[in-house]
Amino acid sequence: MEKQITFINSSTSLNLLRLLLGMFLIALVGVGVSVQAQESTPSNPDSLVVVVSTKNAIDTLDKKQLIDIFMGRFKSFPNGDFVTPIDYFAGSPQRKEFYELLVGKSERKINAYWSRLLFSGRATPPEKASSVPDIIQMMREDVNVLAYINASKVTKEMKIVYRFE
Amino acid sequence: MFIDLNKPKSSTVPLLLLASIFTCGLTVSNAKATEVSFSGFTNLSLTYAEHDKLAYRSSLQKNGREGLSFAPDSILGLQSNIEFNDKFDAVGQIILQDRDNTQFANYIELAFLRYQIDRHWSAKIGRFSTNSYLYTDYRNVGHLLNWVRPPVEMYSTAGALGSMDGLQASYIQDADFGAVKVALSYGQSNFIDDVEGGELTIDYSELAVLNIELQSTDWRFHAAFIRSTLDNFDTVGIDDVKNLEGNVPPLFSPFARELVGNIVPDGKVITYASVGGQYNVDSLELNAELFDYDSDWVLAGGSVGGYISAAYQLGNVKPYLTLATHNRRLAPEVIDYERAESLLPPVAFQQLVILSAESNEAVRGASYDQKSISAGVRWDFHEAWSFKVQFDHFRTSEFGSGLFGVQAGLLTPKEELSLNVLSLSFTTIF
Repeated sequence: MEKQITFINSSTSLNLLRLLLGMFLIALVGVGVSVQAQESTPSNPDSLVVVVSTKNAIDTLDKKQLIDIFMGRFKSFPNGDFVTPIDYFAGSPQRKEFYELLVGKSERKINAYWSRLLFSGRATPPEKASSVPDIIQMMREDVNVLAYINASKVTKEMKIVYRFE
Repeated sequence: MFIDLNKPKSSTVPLLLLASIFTCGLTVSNAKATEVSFSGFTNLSLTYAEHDKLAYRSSLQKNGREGLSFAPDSILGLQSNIEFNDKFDAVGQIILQDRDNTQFANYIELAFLRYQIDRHWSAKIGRFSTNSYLYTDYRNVGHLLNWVRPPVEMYSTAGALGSMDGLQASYIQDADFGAVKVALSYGQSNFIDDVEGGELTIDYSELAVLNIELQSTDWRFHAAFIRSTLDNFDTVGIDDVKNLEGNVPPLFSPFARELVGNIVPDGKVITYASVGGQYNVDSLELNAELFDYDSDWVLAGGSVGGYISAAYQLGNVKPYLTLATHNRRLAPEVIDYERAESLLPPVAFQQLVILSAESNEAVRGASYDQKSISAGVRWDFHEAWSFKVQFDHFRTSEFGSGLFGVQAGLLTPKEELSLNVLSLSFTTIF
């Protein structure tokens, strides 16, 4: 019963698709290298820093670890403690600058990215803060808060774990 | 659109879980440490497809439509997320859209409880996406796609196994380029659809799914493998088919056995394999996917296909172009008529053709062999809204138009056909 059907046009188009997919995968390998290169590019210094509570065990994070957390890949710090990342509200200058510095993406693309995670059921976006006092309050209530603020706004209750330079 | 709440059948567990998630969301929102959020999305799409034989539909589970219609591509999705604590959360999602069969279970896309075991491991129970393809898990959220809909050659059939009920364990590991995520799922899926005169149901039992995803900030690569055993197939007249061998002359017995074996899939094993990737560089976005579906059940026969798509961002406007194909592997016939003709006297062969005509028409109507080219433009005219216009040109092969419906009263067309579809779509998320 199982009879193979051959359609010359269908077969040709399928081979074309396979060829294009192969080229696409080769391009993926190439882009891995270019992403690495972009991440090492120096960016705007002394603008934003990433902070945790002084009560938090974490002393430092690297950029890759920040990307893992703020892009929803991991729900915990590298030491395994749960993390509560805090975002600024949509449209704020800090949010735009932070994601440009972190992953080189516009706020629109970040919003789309988080919507994908949300509606696929993978993760929920970070909690939003509207001001530095908001962040300070959240940090007092939750030792696992991880937030970004302007360097001049860092208080004695915070320690800087990453500085964009 | 009328949703039938009276026949949950075997989807009772996800139904109850979904009800719990939404009612829990409404009742415990003030509980300390429990965070609840509601969100949603909508695609308001108008399509125009005029054809004297075919009726356009974007999914096998939808009704075929002709002329101007909002039904094929308009969708409203509602979601509730509940974070009970650092370890437990739940997600429920219902999607209201055109459906052949209006049982409420057909509208539940997600209803699961998740436990974060540690930094790398997590587990789910309930109804969740099979992630069969790159966009399966958010294929209905038009605002997150360039297209009005994902290419139908790949995604029209995705709804049959788009989500599953069961358990999933997933592991994520960071990597230089981003992260690698591996998920293994086991459970079942119950497919329910309407056919002429009644319902068609089948269970995808012993459903096992392996997903591997490589994620970077600029690209994503996805591979999936699905294996399942078909069971409990039921549809109008199936008892007559099962008893066919005892009701035909002995001369036709071997062919009756062949027909029954092809129509009744219980115990048959199917597999899906797919690979796909999305790649963004500056303003250019490339998407490509391939699938290989292995099945010898003639009502959902094996096939291979895929698509490639390119889009380019120009300010708030993004034009795109897509080429797609879906090629069947099985002949669209319920028995091997060529072999039968060689074995039977001419008169007997003609009688066999007449006896099997009805079931053969069902097979032809479920055979897919087509390709398409689509061009469109997405315009993000507002922070939360986009507008798309898309033109699709489909070409179907001989008895290969099964992804679309057939105009009332017509048999599946034998000839090669082309179908043009124009779509206008507003999308948003909230």
